[in-house]
Amino acid sequence: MAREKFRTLTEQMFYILLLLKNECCGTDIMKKVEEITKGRIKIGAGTLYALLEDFEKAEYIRETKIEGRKRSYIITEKGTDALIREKKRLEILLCDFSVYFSAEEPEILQVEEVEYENDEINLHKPIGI
Amino acid sequence: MKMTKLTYTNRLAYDYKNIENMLEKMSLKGWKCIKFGGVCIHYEKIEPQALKYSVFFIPSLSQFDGTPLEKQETLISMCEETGWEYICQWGKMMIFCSSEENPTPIETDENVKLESIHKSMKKEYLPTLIGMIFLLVISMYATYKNIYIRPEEFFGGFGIFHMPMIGLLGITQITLIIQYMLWYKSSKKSVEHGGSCTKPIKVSFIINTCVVLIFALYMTYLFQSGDKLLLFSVFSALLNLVIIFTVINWLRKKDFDTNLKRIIYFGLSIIIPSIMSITIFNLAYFNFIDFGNFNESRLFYLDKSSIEYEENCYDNGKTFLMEWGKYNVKPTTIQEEYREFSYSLYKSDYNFVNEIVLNSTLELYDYELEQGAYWDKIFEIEDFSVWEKYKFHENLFHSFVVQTDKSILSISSSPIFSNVEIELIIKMILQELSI
Repeated sequence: MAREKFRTLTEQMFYILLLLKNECCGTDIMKKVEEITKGRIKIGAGTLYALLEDFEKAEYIRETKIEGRKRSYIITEKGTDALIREKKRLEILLCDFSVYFSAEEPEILQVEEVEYENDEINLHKPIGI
Repeated sequence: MKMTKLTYTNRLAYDYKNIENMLEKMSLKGWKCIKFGGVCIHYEKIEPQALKYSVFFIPSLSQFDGTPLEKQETLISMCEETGWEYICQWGKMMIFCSSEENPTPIETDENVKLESIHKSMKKEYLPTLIGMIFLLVISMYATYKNIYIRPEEFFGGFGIFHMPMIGLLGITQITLIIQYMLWYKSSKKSVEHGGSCTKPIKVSFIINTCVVLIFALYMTYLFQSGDKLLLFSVFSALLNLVIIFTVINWLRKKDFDTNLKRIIYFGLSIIIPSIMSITIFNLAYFNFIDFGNFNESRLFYLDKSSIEYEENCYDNGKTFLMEWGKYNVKPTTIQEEYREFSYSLYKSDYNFVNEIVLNSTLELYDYELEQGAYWDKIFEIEDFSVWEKYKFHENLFHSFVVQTDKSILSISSSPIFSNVEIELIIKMILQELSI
């Protein structure tokens, strides 16, 4: 279920995992996301709470400490994989975009199939970018 | 001046926007929600102002959690950071409010929200509705079987009202399930297209009609029959509900583990209502139960001087009459056998009732007698059809079922009565009772 849900990450999911590269508590995540995205993305406390619970269940993050009402988390290896996978997916999208829209003489890209064991998902990884 | 206020609501829990709008309107009128209890909301008086409310669902929350658990405290602190004040929790819902003009919404991903609601509904709301339908089906089946075993109780008692009431209750439950499924489907579609959860379709007409009909049926039966036992049953059910809510409220205040709370709740909600029901039923049964008016004038007697007899007559409704008599004819000589004769008479103004009673009586004898027995239409008395059940056994006895236009007479007798005697007896009973 969690694997299906996190096949592709939403912007909010992406930024939460990204920020959890360093240990963070919920309040910090909310503030930092707003800061990094210059207010473009805001994460509501409830959404963050639900996503942190789901990420924890999927073992993408783990709880590190509890200080009063604050709970801190950090990304796990599995979570990092998911984040990298998402980054690659986005790169492919950008690359495909540039092939069709940006370049006047689009470079013919060789594409090889890469299978990611963890998530059983086939991505087309461009070569030579 | 009144400082608090309690109101009733019948809004669906998953229709969160409706709840939020209602609470926001109340704050404009100067009432702030301080407690939400599903069907009742507790407000306190404030200066009229525009408060924003947010209803948040946590699938792991339990109805026994009166105060936030450790993990929910984290959520509350995060909400406070963004300008939201925790109000209360009920079931799997937490309610927050904010006096800020544009606070960051508690939920910024409608997909996550829909998923939380769906998980919550799957854990509590839907199982309750499905469980209710299951109980109704069992009840319907038991009532249906009762037609065959105790037709006089069904047609002369609550049974005939019970069936449509169960049906109507079933319709309400099924309607609510369909309503939820349609809401979930349309909300999912809307969320997938970047929208928000939709409004549930309105089913209040169906639900209200069913509730009014159930109430009308119940009151009609109550006034017509004056059935005190039913009154006590309803009283017992209401008392049980009060006890169950008291137990939940008590558990909500206790700091026990959730699983322990569940065990206590299920234990108490089975034990207490069982004790209550048994006590009330016994009290009512022995003191107030009324099978109908004993009507001796309608009883048929064989020769009183030669027989011992027991008899009873229940005339417990305008449409149904049940009479029963049992006669033991004492042997006058040593060689003579003890003769036994008993009869039951069912009479109703409705043909379909008599048909059911006839079939049930025939089936009942089939059930009671061993294999080798058969029914045979032995003779006809004027307009009456008569069936005889004859069993080849050491202790032979005869059973007869007589069907007339408006009644069913069933007779069991020692085989010592000849067919001619039986025919005479049947005629006597039918004439005596002016059937």
